[in-house]
Amino acid sequence: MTAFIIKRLGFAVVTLFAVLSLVFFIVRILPGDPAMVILGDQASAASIAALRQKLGLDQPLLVQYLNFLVGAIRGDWGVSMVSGRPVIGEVLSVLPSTIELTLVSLFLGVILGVPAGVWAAVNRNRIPDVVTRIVSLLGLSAPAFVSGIVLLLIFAIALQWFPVISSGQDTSFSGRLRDLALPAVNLALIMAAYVTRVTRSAMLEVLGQDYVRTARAKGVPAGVVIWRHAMRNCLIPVITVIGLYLGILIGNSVLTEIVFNRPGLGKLIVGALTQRDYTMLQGMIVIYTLIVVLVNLITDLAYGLVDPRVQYR
Amino acid sequence: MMASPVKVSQMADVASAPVLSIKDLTVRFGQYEAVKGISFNVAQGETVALVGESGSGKSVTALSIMRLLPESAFLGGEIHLSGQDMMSLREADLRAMRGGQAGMIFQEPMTSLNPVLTVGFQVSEAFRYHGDYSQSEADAEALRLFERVRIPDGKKRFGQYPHTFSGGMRQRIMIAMALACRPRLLIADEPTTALDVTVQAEILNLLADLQRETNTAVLFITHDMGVVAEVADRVVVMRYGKVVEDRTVEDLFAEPGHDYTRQLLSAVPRLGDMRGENAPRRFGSPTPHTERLGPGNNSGGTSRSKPAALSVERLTTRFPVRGGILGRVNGYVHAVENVSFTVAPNETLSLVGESGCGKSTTGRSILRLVEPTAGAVRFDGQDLLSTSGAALQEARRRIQMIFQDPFGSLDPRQTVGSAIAEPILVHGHRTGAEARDRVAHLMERVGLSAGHASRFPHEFSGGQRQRICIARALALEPSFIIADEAVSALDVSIKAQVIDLLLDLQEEFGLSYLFISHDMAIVERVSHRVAVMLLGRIVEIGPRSAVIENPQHPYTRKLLAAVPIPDPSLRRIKSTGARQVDELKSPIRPLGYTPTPQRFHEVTPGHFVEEI
Repeated sequence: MTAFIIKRLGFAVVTLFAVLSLVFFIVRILPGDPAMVILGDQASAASIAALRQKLGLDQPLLVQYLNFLVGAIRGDWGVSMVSGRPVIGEVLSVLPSTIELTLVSLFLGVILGVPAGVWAAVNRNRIPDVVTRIVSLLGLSAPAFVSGIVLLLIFAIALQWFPVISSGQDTSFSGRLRDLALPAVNLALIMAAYVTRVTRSAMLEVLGQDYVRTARAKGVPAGVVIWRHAMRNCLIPVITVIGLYLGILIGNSVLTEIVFNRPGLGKLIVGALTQRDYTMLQGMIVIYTLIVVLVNLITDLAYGLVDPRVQYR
Repeated sequence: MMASPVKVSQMADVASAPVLSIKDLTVRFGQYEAVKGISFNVAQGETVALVGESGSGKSVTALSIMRLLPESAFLGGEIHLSGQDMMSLREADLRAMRGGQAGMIFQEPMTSLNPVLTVGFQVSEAFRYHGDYSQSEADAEALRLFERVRIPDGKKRFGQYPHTFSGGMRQRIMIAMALACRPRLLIADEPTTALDVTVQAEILNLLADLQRETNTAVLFITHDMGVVAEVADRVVVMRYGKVVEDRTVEDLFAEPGHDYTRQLLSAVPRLGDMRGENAPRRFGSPTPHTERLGPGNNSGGTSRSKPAALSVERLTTRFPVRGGILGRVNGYVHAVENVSFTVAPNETLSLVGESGCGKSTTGRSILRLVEPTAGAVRFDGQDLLSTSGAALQEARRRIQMIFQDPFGSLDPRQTVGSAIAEPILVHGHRTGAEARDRVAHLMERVGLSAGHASRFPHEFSGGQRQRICIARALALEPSFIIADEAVSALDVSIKAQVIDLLLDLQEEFGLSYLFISHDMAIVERVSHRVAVMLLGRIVEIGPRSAVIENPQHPYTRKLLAAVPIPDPSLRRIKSTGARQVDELKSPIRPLGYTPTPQRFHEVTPGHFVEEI
């Protein structure tokens, strides 16, 4: 198991290296001179040259690349071309709120989705099944910015239960919870829709297995058959979907953070994109890669917790 | 008799009444009636075999006794278990009956245990829902059961998961589970069908012992007449959802009353039937659409004096076992180790042994479907292991394979005509029209109607599909066929028909067969020569009559002794007390392992036995 983790972390380093290199060269291939972008069309040739020198853009490409790699390893991801502050600091300052949002919505989504999926599977082709299928289809098809706005209209504007802007000003626990409620629910509904569907189909398959028949033939009550005998067996596909969906969740968190005006990676990356903040973009891509690699590792480890047949090698 | 429900408390009074009584049972799935009004009883201490071929409704009957059929099944008639009316019980009361009054063992030990729960948990669970057991009491009871079903190292294995157990051990766990609460009825649905014969013998012994100790009634569902003769007191024969015969096992085997039973019995090969004969013999089963040749010897004698059709020399196939951080090879599965044999033109060599002995890998290595590690395979003057490209393709045209699973080896979305035509077109030489003619001819030859070429595999029965696979194998006019458990998945009567077809084809086209099988009785029927494999090596090889009638190697003897004989007067299952349970050893060896060289001793001309 330890050997497996070390090996996977080794793969992660290789993946990160590849992503870093790819990002570096793509950014250089893109048309447009960053110095000119930062200073604008009107800047003098002298000031552009000065900025190029300051950013290291006048050096040969290979030197820039090596500097970039060494910096990345040492945690120096450069300074934002827009704000002038270190990229790593900017990222780390908003990372916790994105992680908070993602984890809470993941948790809510699983808590809602798994029982709903089981309920639908057990009542296959009856009313509960039809209802869950329609509701989860709605969850799958509504874009995060639409459902977010609907939530805002109802709970923040009409009912005024939650703030319209989840800016994170109120740092007390209840204040943070109020800030988090609507964005988290917004993401959780989409998550729950995915989890419901995969749980339903996995449960239907497991309920047809021989060992479920064995358990029933032993006289095990129906509830125990479902939750103890069948549930763990259908967790593998559920975990797979959760792992895959975390990527989409982070993508949707971009939209959610903008709709609810909440600080986070999403807002940062959109800002960097519109302002052509190359160094910031490089840093963001590294962070996203790191998150995806870690999520995959955790997913693989979770398989082993659920299924004793999984071997780590 | 009044159909008034009997209370469990009154059960002592009705001890003489049958434990299970089925009357006019019907089971319907939509329009399809799977069971059409059957009646029979099972008394205490009695073993009743429910016999029939696939689709006869025997498993559906078993599941309906426990009321375990899906909701789409409509039940009619009466089922009384321990005096309780199973048709009118509510779900909660049914649960008390399941596991409490009747235990059940299923066919597939590989899939019948929950892979994510420990075996100890699964056995002790049986106690927890029947009676007042605490967790530790249930565990202690379960551990005692592990001893009773003779699982070695019970204490250590209690907390392990099913995938670490062999098929036979898993079936013991199933038995422990089914018998946990001392049920009055045990329903065993093909409990030994998926097991090797030596393991089957052990499990049948165990069941017989346990039944004697507890006086349980047993309903034993099987298609194997050999097993019936070994275990049953009474036999109920089912066909198309109806009971065609219900009598004691002695009477049934002595003078079967119904045509179908007679047909079923005549289709069963008995080990020892072929005593004194050298050539294979047809069953003489009526085969649809083919000319009837009637029973008779396969007169086309082999030509052992001519050069061999295929000669395998020191064939070795090993699979690496990897481990550690870098996935380094730290051992090898010695699947096939230094195997040599020859097959003469027009001859059948059977390769027998139990699962994991390497017989299938040998077949695949010959065609290089798995890549052998060393050795030589000479065919048509070439070494197949050193050829490649066109020469290998040509060899693969001349050597064809037939596999066990006629469902899995046909593409469900391809018409059978195009499945048969595909090899013809792939290997070129023919136009579409010529290929169509050839397909029609082949289908007629294997006993199918040429008009069915445009149908899809699901429209055919298992036996018909195996005929299609045979037609496909014949499409390229091969001279050598490797049949890997080609008839193992088929019902007895179908099995006999397909064997007859293979023998006819051998005579007609002068084919040589490498017949890979675990079924000794079938092997005796089809082969000229037999090779016995154990742990990747041949331990005994020779003319069929020599190997089967005069086995020399202890493993060959054990294998032959374990084959159930379809004759109740020769019943050998007897209580042997704590019988030795031996698990097949593993062919996994560490790196750098050099197999000990084998030396053979020639018993009679051509009959070689490994010297131990």
